[in-house]
Amino acid sequence: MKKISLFLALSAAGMLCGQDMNVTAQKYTGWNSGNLIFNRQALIAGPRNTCGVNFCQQKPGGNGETSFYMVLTEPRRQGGFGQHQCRFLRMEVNGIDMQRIMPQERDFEIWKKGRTAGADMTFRFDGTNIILSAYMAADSPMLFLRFRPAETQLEPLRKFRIHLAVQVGGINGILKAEDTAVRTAARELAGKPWKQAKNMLNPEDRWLIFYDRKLDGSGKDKGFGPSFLLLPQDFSNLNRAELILPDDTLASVILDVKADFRELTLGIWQNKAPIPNKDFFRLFEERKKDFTVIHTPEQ
Amino acid sequence: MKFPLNVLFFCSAVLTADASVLENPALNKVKILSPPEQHAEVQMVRDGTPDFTIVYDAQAESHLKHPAWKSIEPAIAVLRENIRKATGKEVEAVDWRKADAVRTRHLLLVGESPLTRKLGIDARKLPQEGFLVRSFRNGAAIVGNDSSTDRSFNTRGPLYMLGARKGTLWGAYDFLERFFNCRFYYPGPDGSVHPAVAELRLPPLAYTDAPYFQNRGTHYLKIDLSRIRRSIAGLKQEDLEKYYQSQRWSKILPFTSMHSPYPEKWAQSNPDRIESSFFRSGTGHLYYSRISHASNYFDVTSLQFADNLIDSLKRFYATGGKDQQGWAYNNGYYIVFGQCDNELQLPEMRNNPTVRRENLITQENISHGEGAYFSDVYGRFYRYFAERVKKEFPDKKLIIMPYASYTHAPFQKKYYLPDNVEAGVCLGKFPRFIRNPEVLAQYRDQMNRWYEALGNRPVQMLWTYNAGNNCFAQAIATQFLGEIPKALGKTLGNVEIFHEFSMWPRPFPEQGHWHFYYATYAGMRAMWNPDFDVDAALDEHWTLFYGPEAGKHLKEMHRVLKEGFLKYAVPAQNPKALFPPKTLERMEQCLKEAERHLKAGSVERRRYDLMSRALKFELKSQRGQHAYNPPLSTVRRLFGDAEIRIDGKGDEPEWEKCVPVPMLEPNGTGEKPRYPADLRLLWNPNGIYGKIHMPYPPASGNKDMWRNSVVELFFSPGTEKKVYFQIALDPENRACMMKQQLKPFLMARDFQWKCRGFRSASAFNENEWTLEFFLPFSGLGEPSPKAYQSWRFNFVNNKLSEPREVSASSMCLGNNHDINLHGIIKFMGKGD
Repeated sequence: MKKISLFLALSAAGMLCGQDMNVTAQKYTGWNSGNLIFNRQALIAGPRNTCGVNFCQQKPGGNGETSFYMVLTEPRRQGGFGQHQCRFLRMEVNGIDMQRIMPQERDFEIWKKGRTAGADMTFRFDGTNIILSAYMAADSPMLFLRFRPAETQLEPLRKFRIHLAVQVGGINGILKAEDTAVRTAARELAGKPWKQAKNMLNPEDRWLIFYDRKLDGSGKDKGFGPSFLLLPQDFSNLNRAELILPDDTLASVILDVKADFRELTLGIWQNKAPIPNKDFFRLFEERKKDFTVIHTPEQ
Repeated sequence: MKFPLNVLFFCSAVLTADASVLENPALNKVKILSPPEQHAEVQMVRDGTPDFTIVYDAQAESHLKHPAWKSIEPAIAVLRENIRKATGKEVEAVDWRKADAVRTRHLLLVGESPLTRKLGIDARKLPQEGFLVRSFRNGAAIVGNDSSTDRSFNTRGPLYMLGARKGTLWGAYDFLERFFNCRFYYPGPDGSVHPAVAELRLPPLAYTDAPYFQNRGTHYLKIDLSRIRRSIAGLKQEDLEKYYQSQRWSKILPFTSMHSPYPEKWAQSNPDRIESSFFRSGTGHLYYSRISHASNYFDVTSLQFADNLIDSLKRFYATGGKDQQGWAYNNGYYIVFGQCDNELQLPEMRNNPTVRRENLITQENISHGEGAYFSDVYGRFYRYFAERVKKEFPDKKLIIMPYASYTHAPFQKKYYLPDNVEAGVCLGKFPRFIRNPEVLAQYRDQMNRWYEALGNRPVQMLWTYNAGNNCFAQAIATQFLGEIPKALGKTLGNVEIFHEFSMWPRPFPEQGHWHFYYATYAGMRAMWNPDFDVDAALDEHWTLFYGPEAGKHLKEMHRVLKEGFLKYAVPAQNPKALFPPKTLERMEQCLKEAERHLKAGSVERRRYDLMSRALKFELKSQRGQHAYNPPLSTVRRLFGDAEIRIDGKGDEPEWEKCVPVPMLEPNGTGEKPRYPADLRLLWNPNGIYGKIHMPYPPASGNKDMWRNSVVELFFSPGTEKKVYFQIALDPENRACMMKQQLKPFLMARDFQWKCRGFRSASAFNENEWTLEFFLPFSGLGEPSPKAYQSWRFNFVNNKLSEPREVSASSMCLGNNHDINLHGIIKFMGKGD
């Protein structure tokens, strides 16, 4: 058994429990960091995993526009949710794309509550505010993303879409996808040409494992292996959930959230080191609870 | 035997004049003659003491009314002053009648006199402003072709005044430079060099010289003394006058290409002719303004206007010029016609009925670019006007000013010009881009066309420019001035190259450009002789002026600078080209090394501080430009019950919630403005509100608002740079507005545009100034932006009260309109 897999198994078994959750506020230092006018990173570390969640706003480019985005730098920067160009999470509120908004220093806050730790970021969309809590719990390897409307709203929420992007199979942009697939709790889906790539998700799907059958994470130039998304447990908050699964590198999940929602939580996961598909599938079966239970921030 | 220049310099204590001195490449090239007389060496200076007396004809200039017309007297004064500096001893000057009684062994004959005539020198045979220097058994003679010895000079009357020829004076300067190694680089005691001369022996020699261009120098160098003192401390007016003299400034011919007649004054004197003389556009706007010079445009599509001018000229000349009517440059020889700078837009001119009927703007005009759009419009006008001038004023010539959209000669041969027309053509990219093959080819073509249009006669005057917005360009460009006549050949005559040496040089406007004295020196020399060896002269000067150690590093710095200009600015035709960081580093290194060798408080150090000031500024600016990103500012959303009253007070609580737009030094040096404005912006779907607070008293009370402290706002909706709007406001709440379309094609600036619904109010006292304004989106013809939309934006604060300062929200490098350097404003959402 490879060292990394052993580490994962041990962590999954909670052998590194007893360590506290920790979160520090830092700056993103990866690609393009020299061009940022807003740069905040929450580095959340716990016994089961470490996640670096970055909130970045790029200076006006040649077209005069700024661009606000989020990237994941831990557990890894390459592939899966961590590819910089893929900008793993976007939102659109009342027709306003998150890229256009202007974050402010006061909108970012790290916190630690009992055995959970993370960061809150308030996204302001012309009077409609959404708070995202990105956090982890000591007993879980997942990064949870909890969305809720701010208590004070100047404008009502009318439309809200969440867009998650992932490099399937953990492959980076250099390797092209070969045979993309998504396994859910209910079915197996194969990547298709773009025009046919849309799949409606339903409550039975519950979770998504993104992987490539050929670039299976088993060696050099074989990608990093699967990435995982835990869908909201309560689909009644959603108007619609779509999975765009092309036979190409980038897959997306688009959640059309009801305007009167109170709270919505997702979970994502990927491994730090490459993990072969089959090893992850086995681990997932053995430790399903780790991946399918949503932890809430402790009070 | 030739001595290297540096050896000659160091041996200046013992100077034996020989061929190397006469052929010194660092000085004007003279015509060496066979010495008419063989004699033993004449020792003019012995053991540090001048052993000669200046001898002249004290009666020669006694008839002259104006001291400015004299040549011999100032020549003697300059010789005595500078020889005193070189030897520490006075040289006497006596009338020729007392020459036999002088105590010195030798004579220096200055100016024409019976003694020089005895030597066979005929001043009248010398070229205009030319001079002869020769030795003889008892000394040397400097004789020039001077107006002062011409008893009929300037006796015709005020309209026929000419500039005085001062050949003797120029000969005196040449004598000092050649034999006493004096050099005159910039005004004041620090600006010249007078090495000590212990011995001076002249072998038999003779040479002549005369200037190439008849008019040399420019009023752009004549800047108020108090302003120049900010660069050169303690300067006196007489220092300036001596400097102009040392550079051989002269205006022999009263030939000028200029805005003429001044439209406001002409209209005032001819009120019944306004309607038929000023252009009326298709929208009904009459391009006439009593107050603003630049808002006027004569109607050159109308031949009636030419008739009006003829009637006006008849009055002018009938009164001997007393009924001036704005004809400030006319005289008995020339009538000067030129439009002011205002630009008519191409569609306006194109839609003019006469232009359409006569087909005055064809595809050929358009295909030759902006400088040719109106060439045939003007050609038709010039031809008609010139024919009338020929008939009514047969003894006068008409000078025209090809410029802007009519720089080209007319394409239609029927508008070629009669022989009483002379042209002063504006070639804006000379001399700075003369080494760019495309520019050279374009201007050669243009000049060839003018040559043809003028009936195979040359253009007599050029108007050329420096590059005011970039110190590196200013330091180099003028050095190429001498290449212009060689490049243009027979198409350019020898009246004048009028050069804007830089009236408002960045970064120290209104102080002149003494920081680039070496380039000015080269340019002035080129006006005397286009073959002047600029490289040799500047090479010599670094050591002469700064000493061998510092001079070596400054010479290298200049080499890198010139090489950089040729490599980065010239091919791109961009005077503001950025030099790579490595080149900047090399220049900085050279300056640092030079500084190490300069003693504090020394004259060399003072010279260095003057010379390096602008270059150091530009180095800083270029570093800043390398690091520049368009600055981003926010426009806070006004919503709910919040209201802003435009009353100039700016006391609403909403203003407190705004983040002020950051101000910066607009040249990129990174220095913080000392007097920044506090600008805050709010918006709602109706428009933009602004509050500007300046915590200092503004300059106010001037008739021309641009002489008051003025703020300028530039807005370009969206980020695509399709159009931008400029709104300028002064403390008296006067506004000046402009719109310029950039895409899909560039249009001329529209100064008639007004923002409908714009409101503003100002309040000022002896301590501060506040402005509030409301700019409706509908007034711009634009929809209300959406939240988080961006516009391009620039704000400029022109503080004209002393001490003056310009600060801005963008690094616009002296061109506030450069939209590529404008920053961004982002319209924030509610609650942001």
